[in-house]
Amino acid sequence: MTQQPTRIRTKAEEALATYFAALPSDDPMRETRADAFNAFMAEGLPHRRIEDWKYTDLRSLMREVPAPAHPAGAEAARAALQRADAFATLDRARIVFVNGQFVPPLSDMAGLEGDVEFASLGRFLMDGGAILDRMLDPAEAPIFALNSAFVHDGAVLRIRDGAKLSRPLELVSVYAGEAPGLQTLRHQISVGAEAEATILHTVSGPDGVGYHTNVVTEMQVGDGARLSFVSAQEEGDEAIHLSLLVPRLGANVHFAPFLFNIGSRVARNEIRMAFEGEHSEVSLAGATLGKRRQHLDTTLVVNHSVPNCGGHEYFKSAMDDESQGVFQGKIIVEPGAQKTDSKMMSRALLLSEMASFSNKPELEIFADDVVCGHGATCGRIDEQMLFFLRSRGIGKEEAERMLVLAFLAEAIEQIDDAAIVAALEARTRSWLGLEAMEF
Amino acid sequence: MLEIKNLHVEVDGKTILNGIDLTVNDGEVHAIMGPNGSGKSTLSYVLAGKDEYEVTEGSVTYKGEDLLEMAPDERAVAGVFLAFQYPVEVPGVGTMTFLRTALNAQRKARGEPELSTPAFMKLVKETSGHLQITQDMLRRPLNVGFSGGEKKRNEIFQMALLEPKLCVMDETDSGLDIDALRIVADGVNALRSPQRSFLVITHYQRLLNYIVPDVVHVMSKGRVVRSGGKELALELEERGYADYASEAA
Repeated sequence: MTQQPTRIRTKAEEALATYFAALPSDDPMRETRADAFNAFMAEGLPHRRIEDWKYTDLRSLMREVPAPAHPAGAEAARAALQRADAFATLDRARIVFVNGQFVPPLSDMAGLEGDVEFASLGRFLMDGGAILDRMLDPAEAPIFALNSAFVHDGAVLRIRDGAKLSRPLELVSVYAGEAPGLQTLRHQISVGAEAEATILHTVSGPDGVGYHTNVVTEMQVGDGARLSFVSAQEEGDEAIHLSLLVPRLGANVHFAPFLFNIGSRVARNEIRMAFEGEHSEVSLAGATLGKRRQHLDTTLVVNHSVPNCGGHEYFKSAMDDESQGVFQGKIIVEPGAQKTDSKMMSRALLLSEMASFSNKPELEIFADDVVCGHGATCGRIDEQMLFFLRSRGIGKEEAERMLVLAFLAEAIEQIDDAAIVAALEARTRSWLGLEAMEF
Repeated sequence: MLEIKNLHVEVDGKTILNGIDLTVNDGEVHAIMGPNGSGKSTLSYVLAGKDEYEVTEGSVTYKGEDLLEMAPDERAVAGVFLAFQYPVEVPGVGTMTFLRTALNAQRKARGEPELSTPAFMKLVKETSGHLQITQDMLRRPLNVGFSGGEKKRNEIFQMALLEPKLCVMDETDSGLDIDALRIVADGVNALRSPQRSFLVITHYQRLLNYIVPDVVHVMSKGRVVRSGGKELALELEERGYADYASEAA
């Protein structure tokens, strides 16, 4: 045996090693999991000296890790699901996971039978047929490595070629119970050629419980498909949320992901997107709303490896109290990816003296006939606008709230579907304490 | 209605208003004229409560109360309205949402019941017509994509809707063609009443052909250097401000 240099493990890493050792020894996925876990443990929890994690140091933000979650009882699961109501106003199909486990009685796929094939990943994990290491190298992505090591369930979805989904399909993950636990989910979504779909993703859980969520969503989007993916992160206020979205896009794809980031104590939302076919367009947007001492990180890596694709990233954040926001956006244009048109904008509004925001846009361009741009701003509420509203009799607080809503709405309104926009704006309004107004 | 005494105001340590005295009684229309840089717009912002202006001396009393002690929104609730020279564009805030929020905020602060949606819509319809405020303007975000004339009409529309007691109009005529000027002036004249006073700030006499003032003041170097009847405006139009620019130096 060769001598390994010893790295001092953190308490959280020790806990993860203990949990990993306690996984069933007859698990048919044992080898894949072990590879991933060893890749993770080689570096351990990412920390500030690793460039990608400079602003989100998990060694200090994640002092403890709870043991893998136990399944919830039927009643507790049903009660917990009540919280996951971000899209309650929409007619949608639902696939529900509670504490990381598929719950068929709470799910409803009516009307989609002909267009969508669904199986729970748990089934493939049990018979050893799950493929966990297709999209990324575990050594490159700690969230992904931990996910492969501990994943318990998820949705394996296939939307048939040419299918036009009659209503949005929502993937719901809720945490139930008062004891902290670790829930680990992997969704694998394949969207057929020329298919059209809206997929919603809701993650929520109770306040005051230090549970952890790790959710990886892999997507393969077929040629000519139109896919909208709207994710609402509404975890409880003590939760740690790690998510990774890995889309691979074919040719002529129209893909519009949106990240609504409002919950948790610590959240890291990563998107690692790759264009694999020409003439695809991506409109990637998000809104982050921070309060208390929340730490909310959005990290994008958009990789253009083929020519003639467009990417537009538009993110807005409003940070209040002592919250910290992070936006890292990297656009890579590989040699040969000519005629790439890629723009990225991140704008943050600081609502208190103690709030902070770190913006890190990066462009790595290796082709010479491209249009690429980025912008990043961080500021306060516009004094001229505030004075104008107040001069008409609107109180300072209400005027400020109106302006924050207006600021965030510009990002939310990037979403095509008016009903989804209305749902997320209603969420934003209630976060701000503003009443709705109808005409 | 309004009593300004010996008002001195600084911005970034620089004196802009240098001892203004001005009294406006109920129902009167006062015009303030003067060359560029004489402090006209500063006076309007100070009355509305913009906070980068520091009052170093003097007082402003509105209906017997110390106006300078009040926040901008409290002044609006008390009946002070500033029609901006450059109305601010507010992307993302719908014009209707803004109008209704403002109206109901004022009503609420005065202890009056908020207007229901139908009552509000009716009021908007009644008020908007003669100011040529279109449905399209009402649907857009506040002042966003409005032409100069539309912005100014929108200011007078807000004034008509909010029914203030003291209307301060800061160069409402600037950038208006003659048709737009007439619409704005008609809107203002329709609001004239024994209980409502106006302070009309303008660089040109032209507006005063349409909104006929009771008193005209000339400002120069941060002070009122001359006051008179409406004929003073005509005299200024003829002779220009040259006399006044040098007088206070």
